[in-house]
Amino acid sequence: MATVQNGAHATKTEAERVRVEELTKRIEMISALDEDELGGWTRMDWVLITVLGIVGPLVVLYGFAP
Amino acid sequence: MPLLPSEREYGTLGANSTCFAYGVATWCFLTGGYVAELVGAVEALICLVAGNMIGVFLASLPLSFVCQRNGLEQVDVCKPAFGSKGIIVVLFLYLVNMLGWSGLILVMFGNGIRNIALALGYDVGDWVVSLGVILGIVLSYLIVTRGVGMLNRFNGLITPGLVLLVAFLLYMLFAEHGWEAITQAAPLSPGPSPAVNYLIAVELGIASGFSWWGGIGFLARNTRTRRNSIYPEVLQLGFSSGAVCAAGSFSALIVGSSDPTEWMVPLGGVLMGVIALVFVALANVTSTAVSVYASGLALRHLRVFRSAGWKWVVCATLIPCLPFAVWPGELSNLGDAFLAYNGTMYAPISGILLVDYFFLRRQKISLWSIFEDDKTGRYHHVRGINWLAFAALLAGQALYVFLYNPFSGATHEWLETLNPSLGSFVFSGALYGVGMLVIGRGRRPEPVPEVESGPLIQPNI
Repeated sequence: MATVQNGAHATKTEAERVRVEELTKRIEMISALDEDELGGWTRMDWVLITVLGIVGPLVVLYGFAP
Repeated sequence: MPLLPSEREYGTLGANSTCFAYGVATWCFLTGGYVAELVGAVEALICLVAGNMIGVFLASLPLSFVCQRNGLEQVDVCKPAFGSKGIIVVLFLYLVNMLGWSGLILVMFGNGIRNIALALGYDVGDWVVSLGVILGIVLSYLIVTRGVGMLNRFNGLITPGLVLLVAFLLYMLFAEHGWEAITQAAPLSPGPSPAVNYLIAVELGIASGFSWWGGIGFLARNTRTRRNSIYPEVLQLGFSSGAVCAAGSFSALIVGSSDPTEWMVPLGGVLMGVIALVFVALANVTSTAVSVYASGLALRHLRVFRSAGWKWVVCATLIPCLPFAVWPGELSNLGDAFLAYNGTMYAPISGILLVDYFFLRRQKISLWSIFEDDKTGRYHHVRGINWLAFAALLAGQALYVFLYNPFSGATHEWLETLNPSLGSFVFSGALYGVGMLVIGRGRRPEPVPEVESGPLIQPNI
């Protein structure tokens, strides 16, 4: 019985080790990504998303307020 | 695990269509029904579309870029601000949100079954609603435990159907009643002040947008570019979803009921109405399944569920829905309060995350520390919790309830100058930012170096 439990524990530990290894690899790869690889984002995007997401809707809400 | 760029599924078309599929769901009808209780059609349209866009934008801004940059879910992204263990509280709030929606939709499923029976001439009792909730729970369990493939297949059928249903509702509304009748229909149960009704409707719109908080990280981490991580969310979850909610408001105003399952037969006749109701019932099960699936994934962040079988995790997410089978009417009557509660939770959290990511950390977080449970991690704070973030969160929630108490319906006169969600967003964010600078004696948290390396001492996967 003890051998079976030890075997299960060893398998779990091995699975955890593989997961941590995979996680470490991913963290290294993502941390090393260049900003350009994630797509552009310009000042014009900031203006556009701010108008679309908050300024425009607030103006409309204010305009229709009773 | 953080997603690598090569594993991300969504380009521009994929991001827009997925956001649209998420955005057009049966809870839009519920939201539309709640707003129709307060204001007429034009105001409902404005409040729901504009409010939804503001809510989605403010929820997305602090999450989208960091989730997309690092391939992370939103719960992980909360660690720098709330602490590596503090996120358990955020996770709990998130689960309350997801399961609350699930419960409301399950009651809608039960109501749908009762109304189908009524339309066919069978006068059944309220017990059918409870039975429907239990049936919905069982069906959701069967779908979710069969994995994401089954969920996607159901969604692939339901989303186009829901678009057709909205088109059908709008066609019947305009063909049978016309725009003039829709705009002249009186709100269902307004308060005495039109201004306060409008302001609460605006708040429900914004809170509806904030309630997408739970889905934003999942969508953003799956996108390949920064633009795709935020524009589709504001356009589809904000604009399109708001427009579907407004179609719900129009139907509620014309039929005179905020219960979506009572719209179909009066608008479409018995045959089309029953077909539509059957479809809405199916869509409700799919919406619940999506919510339960997301809740199950979130539960995986807890150590106790990390290695548990998926079936047990799904059971754990469905059990809290059982009270909706016992008190379906009582709990679904709290639906509008629950909708506003989303604003109470996510507006201050979003304000804190925005200040933390953009102003304190200058858009750079340590991916190593996100997955580090050891006290040497950057985001350990004090015993794993950043108490200041929670103090700012509570202060924001207190301000919200001071302005508008969603459960009692009480409002303060300041509501006319300060929106509860926007107020608590700014207040919590400012309080947190100033507090962190005071703790750091005027300095921001230590910047993350350009090159950082492991190993992880106590990995939290």
